[in-house]
Amino acid sequence: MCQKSLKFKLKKSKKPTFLEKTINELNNVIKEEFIAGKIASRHGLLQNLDPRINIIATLLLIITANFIHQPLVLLFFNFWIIWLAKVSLVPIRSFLKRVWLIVPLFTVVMVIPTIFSPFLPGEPLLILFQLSHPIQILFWQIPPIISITKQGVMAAVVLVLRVGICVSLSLLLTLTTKWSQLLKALNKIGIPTVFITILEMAHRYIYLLLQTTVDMFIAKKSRTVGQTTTGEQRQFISNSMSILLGKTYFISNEVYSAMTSRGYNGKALTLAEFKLKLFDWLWLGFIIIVCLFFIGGDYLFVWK
Amino acid sequence: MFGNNVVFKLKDVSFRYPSNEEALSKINLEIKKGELSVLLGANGCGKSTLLKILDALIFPQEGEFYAFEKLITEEALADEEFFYSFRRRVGFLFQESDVQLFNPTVWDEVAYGPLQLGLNSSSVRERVERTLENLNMKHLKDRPPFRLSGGERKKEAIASILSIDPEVLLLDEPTNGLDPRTQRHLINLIKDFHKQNKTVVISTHNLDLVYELADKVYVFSEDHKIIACGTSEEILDNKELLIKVNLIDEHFHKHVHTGDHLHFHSHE
Repeated sequence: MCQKSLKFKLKKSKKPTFLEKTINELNNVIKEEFIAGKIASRHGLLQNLDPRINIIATLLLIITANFIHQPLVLLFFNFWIIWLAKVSLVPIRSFLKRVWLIVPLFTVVMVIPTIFSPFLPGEPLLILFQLSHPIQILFWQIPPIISITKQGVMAAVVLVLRVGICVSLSLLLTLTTKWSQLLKALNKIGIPTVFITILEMAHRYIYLLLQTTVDMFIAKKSRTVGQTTTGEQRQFISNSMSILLGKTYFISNEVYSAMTSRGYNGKALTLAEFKLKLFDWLWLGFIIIVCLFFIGGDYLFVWK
Repeated sequence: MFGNNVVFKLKDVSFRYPSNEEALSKINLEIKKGELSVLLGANGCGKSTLLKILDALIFPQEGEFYAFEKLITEEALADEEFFYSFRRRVGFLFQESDVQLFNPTVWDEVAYGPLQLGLNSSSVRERVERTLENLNMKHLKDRPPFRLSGGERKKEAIASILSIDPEVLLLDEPTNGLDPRTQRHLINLIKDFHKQNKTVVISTHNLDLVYELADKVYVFSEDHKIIACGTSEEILDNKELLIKVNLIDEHFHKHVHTGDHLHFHSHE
């Protein structure tokens, strides 16, 4: 009897518990940061650029993407970014997964209404159903034919492809530039030092607090025998939150003391000297040509 | 009032935290230039608080604290010139390395002090390179702190202070949580620093550290007072005193190993 109930319990505990899932997720965040750091250290094309040029080029490309209206050109633009990722030695599968499985999902949800005729009237592609007469709701009129329109689908595809380009370029920038270098470069191109210092410290201490959270959850797991109720789990989460808040307060005081001890007096200074090489200027020139090429392609397809 | 070589002087200093919890009670001490002093006491007796007062990070509510012959108050530190000269002369190693390592990479961390204290960029670079070379840390210079081991983080924290080239080093529980090899490396570093006629104040409950390093030992009682002061031999031989301040139990004894090395521990 006793053995039976033990077997049952062991079988049941094979399903990952809330604690295990949280520990895994937290570990994944730390692992991803580690992988990103490794990619940024590789000798790929974008890694060899001055971070300032990398930021300016990314901004130019994002602005260009927002001027393009033709889905085919946008699609080609996306393929070009994949080539850029490839020559920068970024693992393509995980890169595409991060861009196309998670982020545009939210965009797709947002743009779905625009494909239907009540929201964006146009040439019907597929008629869904017909009403006997139009319905008026305040200032909004629902037409009698509810359909998926050509204009709506085009607008949705263009928006999703543009978001894809913007997310891919931003991800590529952060993957191929070390976080510390990226922030220094942002500082050099005019972002205030105070803002940069806050970002640097936030990035630094998020990982410390993540590690603390992982340790807390592992400690809890090691002392947990059998099943815990939802109420107990909620209690543990709220306790962990209050402990973390207390720890954050302690750390912030101590960090401020440590900064003061080494001469911080309200003015944060950074030391970053980047040197532009011929390759950086050539790359910037190439990016301008690429931007003109895509805008030209869009002109040929749409504007003519 | 001061001898020429007095670095720190405390007169009847008391300190309470905002929660009204007492941390220090009527502390009197005088630390001379080139001296290696150890603040010895059990956990929670006020050693770390005293080090923070010595680094002018907190200020006593009662009594007077003098550093380099000047009364240290919040107003005195508000003077920018004095603030920078004080910070250039005193370096503080925090007990938890993580709070001291707030920069994105080892290189930035070591450069932070010299940069804040007004050195030009070429001098900062030179100091950072030299410090990293001396501590054999050049290979770690681009690493963020969360990718370093505990020992490496402690070394980084020390490098971040040594790059300032201070006259006084305040070390809060420097050997805590370090493996024996890193502890040995750290002890050698402290010895090297002290050999340059620089002043060192260490807070610890590690008796091996007292034996090996201390010129002078201040013993804290659990009611936050200094109840004894003497050389390391005088203090370590006074078993009754060490039991009284809850540092050891009655089974405590010392071993003498070959080469005159002593170590202290306790077992039945």
